[in-house]
Amino acid sequence: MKNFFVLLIFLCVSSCAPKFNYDSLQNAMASKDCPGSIELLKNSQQAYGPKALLIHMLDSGMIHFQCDDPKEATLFFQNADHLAQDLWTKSFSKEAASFVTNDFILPYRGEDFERAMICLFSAFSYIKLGEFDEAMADCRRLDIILSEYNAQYEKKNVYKEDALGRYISGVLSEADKEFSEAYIFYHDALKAFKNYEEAYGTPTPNYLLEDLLRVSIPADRKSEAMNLVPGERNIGMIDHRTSRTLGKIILVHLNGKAPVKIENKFSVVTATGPISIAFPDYSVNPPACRTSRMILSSPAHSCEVETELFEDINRIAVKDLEDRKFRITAKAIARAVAKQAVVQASSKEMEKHYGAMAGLMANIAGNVAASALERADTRSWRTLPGEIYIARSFVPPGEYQINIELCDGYRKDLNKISVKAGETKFVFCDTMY
Amino acid sequence: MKKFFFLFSICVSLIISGCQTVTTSRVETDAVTDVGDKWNDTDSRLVAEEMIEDALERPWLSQFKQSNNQKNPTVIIGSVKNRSHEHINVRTFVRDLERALLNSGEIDFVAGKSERDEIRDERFDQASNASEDTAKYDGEEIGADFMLNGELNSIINKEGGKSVKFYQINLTLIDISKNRKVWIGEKKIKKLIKQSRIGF
Repeated sequence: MKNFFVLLIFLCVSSCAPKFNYDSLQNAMASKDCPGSIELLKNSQQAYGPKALLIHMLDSGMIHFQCDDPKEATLFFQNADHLAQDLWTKSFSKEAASFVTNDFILPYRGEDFERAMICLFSAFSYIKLGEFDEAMADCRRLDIILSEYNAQYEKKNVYKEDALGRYISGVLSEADKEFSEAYIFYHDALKAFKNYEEAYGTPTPNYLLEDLLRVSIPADRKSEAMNLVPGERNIGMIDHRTSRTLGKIILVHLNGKAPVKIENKFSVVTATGPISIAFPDYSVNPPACRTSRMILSSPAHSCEVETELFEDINRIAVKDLEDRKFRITAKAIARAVAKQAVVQASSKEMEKHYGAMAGLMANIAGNVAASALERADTRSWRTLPGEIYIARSFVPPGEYQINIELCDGYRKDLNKISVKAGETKFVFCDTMY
Repeated sequence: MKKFFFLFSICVSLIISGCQTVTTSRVETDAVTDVGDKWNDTDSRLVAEEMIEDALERPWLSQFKQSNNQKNPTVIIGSVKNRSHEHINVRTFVRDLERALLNSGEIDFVAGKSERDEIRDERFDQASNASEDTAKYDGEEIGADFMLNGELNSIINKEGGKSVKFYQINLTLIDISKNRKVWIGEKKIKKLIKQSRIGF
């Protein structure tokens, strides 16, 4: 009898998946209804549930970022970062309970790459506010997180470096005239791209090689940089002295949507009853268009530059999950075995007290409940972009009209921008919806 | 029956313990309240207190007064950069420092870059709208003798749940006419933070 009550308690306390309707949010963003999107998120905290509070903060931050409210976005991202830090402490009771219910009972802590993206998008939000110093604080925070990953995973070929994060750190350092620091960040980005090429098929962008060579001169590391850049690459470099007379405009293009986790579930019939095992998988929605061009025009000067892929979040997410699949599957099997043990013990007790029929009914009910409880953790930061592209151009000081041209010839007008000699300006464009 | 009530009371306890309550209590502004592991108001206050005392005691002040007929030096606040890994409002301790030095009667301050645009707009408006005998005119601002700028740096060492955070704040007074540094104030703060891997 007591085992039956134990089973009932597990049913009571087990968590369900968040019920937030992402389709409504996507429709609102696709029709550029920012007030509607923000309102939808504000009213949906219950739908997310208390165990997915981190995702609610991240989605809110991202929507505010895309709706040109970077101030509010920074608050959400900061709170998300604090929460992710607090969630590093695991609850013993909840971890134990997750072995007999499902992982929805655990608060969502974020994947490793998602935690890095918190810092990156917080930095982007501060960049939109023109607060490069604060953006740099997020880059330093990112450095601490990546150092933790490097210490934790050592030589394992898993996500433990963020090439885009390192590159942006380099750009901000260079804008602050900290050339030695910029060189180190560009160098770290180069090392990260070597891993990216192998793990995700993302080649090292030419913009990074040019920037590395350019800052190597004021950083007094020119010969070292020359050895790092492959000889066969056609690098069109503007030297450091010339770059100080020009303005720098950087385009950050957020393209496509991040992959969505789906559940894979199967049942195995055993002598003691069926065992259900569920594990998550990613469903990738590849963007329709994967190249773009930044067009800058002013009365005195115009130019066009191609974007290059700096971060393939689709592939990072898929590989990150692949790397953890063994652990996830092992836990799912252990959970199935534990549930089966409880069901068997409960039905035997029911049979002992109330007869064979009661025992059989308890067995059936227990197996149905155990199967229903077995759910894959499909929570993720769904409002991330699928890919991030960068384009960079040095231009004479002045005011420029900026257009983005996509692969299908579609042109998107962005705001005009003024840039002075030696100044760095960022523009953001998203084709996520 | 006893077992049923026991299990039922556990369920109720779990539900009640999950409920959140908010309590508020007022504390003194100088009470040490280390909530979390981030830079907080106590850190800001410690920096301001150290810098105020140091700035007023150093020889630069008496040397300036001796060379300038006992006139107070005029200071303008320049940029104080946050070069740490946290979002820290450096203006809190800079404002505390400015207030204490001004109120000491030993040092004068003029409006910094962020403030004087508004003042200049007001003078421009007065030139058109205020009476001649009350309007204030351009070209009568007091030039600063010194600029105060500085930076806040941090070093973090982290392993597992243990981390050591080290903050160093440096403020510098620079003679505007000669580019000479006359005072450097420094405050260091170190924190040891422990976060357990497992909780209940």
